[in-house]
Amino acid sequence: MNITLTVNGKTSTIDVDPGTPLLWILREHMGLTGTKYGCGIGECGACTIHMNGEPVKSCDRAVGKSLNADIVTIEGLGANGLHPVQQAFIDDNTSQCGWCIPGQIMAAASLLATNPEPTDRDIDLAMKDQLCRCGAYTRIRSAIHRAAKA
Amino acid sequence: MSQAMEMKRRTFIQSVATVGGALVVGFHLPSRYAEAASDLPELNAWVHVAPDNTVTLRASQSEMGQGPTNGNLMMFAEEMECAWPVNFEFGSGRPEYINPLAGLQITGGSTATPGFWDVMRKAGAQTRHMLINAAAKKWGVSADECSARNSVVTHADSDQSATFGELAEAAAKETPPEEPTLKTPEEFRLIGTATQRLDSKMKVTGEAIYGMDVSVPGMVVAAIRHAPFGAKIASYDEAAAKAVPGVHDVLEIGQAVYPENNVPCLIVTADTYWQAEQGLKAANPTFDGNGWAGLNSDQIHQAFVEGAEEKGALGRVDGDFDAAIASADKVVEATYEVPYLSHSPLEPMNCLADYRGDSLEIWASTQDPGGGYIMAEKLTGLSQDKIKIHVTFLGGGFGRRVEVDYLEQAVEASMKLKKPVKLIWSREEDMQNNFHRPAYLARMTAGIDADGKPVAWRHRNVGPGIWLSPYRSSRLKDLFADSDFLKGQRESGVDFHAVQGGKDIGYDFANLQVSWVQKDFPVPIVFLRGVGNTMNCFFIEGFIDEIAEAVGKDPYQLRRELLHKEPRMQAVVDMAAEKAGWGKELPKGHYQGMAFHNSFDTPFADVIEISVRGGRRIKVHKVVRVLDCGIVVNPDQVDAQCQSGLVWGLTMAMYSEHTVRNAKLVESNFDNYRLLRISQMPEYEVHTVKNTNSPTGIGEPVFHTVTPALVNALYAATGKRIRSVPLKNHGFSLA
Repeated sequence: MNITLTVNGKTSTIDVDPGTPLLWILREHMGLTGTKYGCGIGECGACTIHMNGEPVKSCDRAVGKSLNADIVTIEGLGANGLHPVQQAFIDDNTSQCGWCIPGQIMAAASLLATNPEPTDRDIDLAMKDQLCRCGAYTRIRSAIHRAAKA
Repeated sequence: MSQAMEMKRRTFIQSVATVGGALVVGFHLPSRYAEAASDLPELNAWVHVAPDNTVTLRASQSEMGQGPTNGNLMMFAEEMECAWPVNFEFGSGRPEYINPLAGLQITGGSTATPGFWDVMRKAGAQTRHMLINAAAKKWGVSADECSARNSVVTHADSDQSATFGELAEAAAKETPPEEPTLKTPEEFRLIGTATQRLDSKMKVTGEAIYGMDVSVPGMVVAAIRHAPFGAKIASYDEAAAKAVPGVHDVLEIGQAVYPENNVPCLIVTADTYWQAEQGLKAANPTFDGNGWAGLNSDQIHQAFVEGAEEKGALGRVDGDFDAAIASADKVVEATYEVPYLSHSPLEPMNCLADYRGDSLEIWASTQDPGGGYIMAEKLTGLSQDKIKIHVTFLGGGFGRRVEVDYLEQAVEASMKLKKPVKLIWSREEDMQNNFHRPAYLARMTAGIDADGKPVAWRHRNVGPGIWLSPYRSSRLKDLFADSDFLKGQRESGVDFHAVQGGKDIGYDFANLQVSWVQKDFPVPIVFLRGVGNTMNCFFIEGFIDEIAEAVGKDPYQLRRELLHKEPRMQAVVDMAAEKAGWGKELPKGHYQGMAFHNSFDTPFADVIEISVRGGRRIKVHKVVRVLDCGIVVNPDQVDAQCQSGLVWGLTMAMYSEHTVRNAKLVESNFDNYRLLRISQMPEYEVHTVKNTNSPTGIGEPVFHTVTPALVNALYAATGKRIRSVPLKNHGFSLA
């Protein structure tokens, strides 16, 4: 079926199985490999993107349920250079293996958009579904605080 | 060329195919971080310099987050005297990249730093000599009068200077000294500083390329289903699979280079991964079991319990344990147990292989390109110079990616299908077909004399052996079959990793026995971050606290007394006690637990402070982590690894467990194999012992002391002695 999506400001129509998770549309049809596959069941958060301004796990969201959605991925987050969260993750040397990092950043950017000065508790709540197997949680938290101050 | 310029030059070769009316766009991502086919002057296997003076260094060691890219390249840059930061690439397949502590180009065993400490500094110094010699010739002066700094060679007397970029072409023809003089630690400018990760920017923008992100024109994507342990494929519906739009091939694979690693698998290929998964579901493969069909965790546990009554093979004997026990005033005995664990790196296993009859190219997130070349040579019959393995970033490794089974599968599929195949394991396939940290049981026995001194120690381990198992385990046992290392294990009957951290215990007992009772099962097993230490540290350190109680001693005091012959280890325990305020007054309801372990030549101690609400809910307030890893090459990386190891330790203590039911692993995804979450991350601090000893590894030692320190704190808080993990099985939760 024909599905129209706006991804990082660019609108296009693709003909795909509407059951295909958005994650694989982004990765395989659009070449946006910054969004990562980790679990396929919405448990790890590596695939987090913004859909109509909200953080969404793209691995278990069928593209057929995302008609006319306005999507932002990690590649489009810093449309004019780096987003403050990206810069803070660089400044804090937050990344380890990096596979979860795009999802972490998308979730953190969403948090700061609605809550510019989050407490530790706010961060814990907003980031609770973003797993980091390397365990960089202390620095993820500190980078979000750093970005809030930027 | 800067990274930004390189990004602009990046070309996407798009191929367009029409599949069921759908527009499918394939992307070719050049392997930007693999060795570039460069016409720039290459000074040696490690470095090329562009005319604009941009220095690009090559790394041998795989970047899976643990930071060898910064660490190893800092060592090189320190001696080369090039400007920092540098550009970097991942090299593979040249003899220079062999890890001297492993004999292959392999990343593991916490050897990236100690293994390359001399290699990188020496090669960096040789490179500097080549550049200086070229400058000296150009200016007609003595090389001794020239110096290099910040990517420029200077001859002060004649006030001449030239950039490395200007000198590189001439320098490439120079022969460097065999044994250049290296800097002393006081002369270090870069080593010892907390540098910005070279890969940070590409990781926060999504530009970093991992194995799963690579595509080549004409490739198909494969999904895979593995047979349960020992089972064979019984049936599948090829027509149903091929009726799914986009599906190309339905294929049985699983003929490994080493027969015990044969695992029958069904793969379905398609234009996209999602289509391939749908095709696999439609194919609905079924499997025939064998003698292992009823295998479950209870059966394994029962075999271990029975094994604990056997004597086992002796790994180390000091004094006379039996006599000491017979004459002991008091005997303490306890049984500890740990389950199977998976590495579960966040990027599931995947590999792209392109077999072209006379050559083979592989793109993979791998810790072992060296072993990958050997596997590919054996599988294809091609000589290694016809094979190229591009090592990408790794979305976690933790020892799992030392195995090359997923590379082997992709190569076999590409050979059979005669096209490039990108194989992607689902998370479920990844967890349930992982090579696990073996389950283990230990019977710990100590004898205490009339003066209250522990004089006898027996550590009897029961479980599988990674090196000696007849079943599926690391193929390194085949690769190194003729080595003295493996021959020694076969002769003694003691698996190296089964007793790792136990056989080489730092505590002094006059009468000591460490033994291993071999009980193998077909659950695939391999090295997991810390390997044998992960269980043996828990067994030993939990039991040391039991002995302390039995002799009425403070657990810290007992540890430091037993370490009286090991001053380096004793200093770490002392520092941990001091920094954590051990024995001092704590806030009401707070309790501390301590653990120590020496592994990979890095003594490590943890003091964990907790409180427990309602007897069940644990809150970790603070963790003090102390280690001696010699010269700290990059303090930021030591802190990051200590952060990581703490999360691993708490995850293992609280949640991690793979159970077996009907010859299959039950836990299949992060909903039933839980990881620690950000809200549970405690405060921690890291202290390193300052000295100028050659650096030792940190990737593994950071992990195993957490669990025993936590259970020891839990005993202080609740009076409950925990001898098996995970703690969730004892009714505990973590706030």
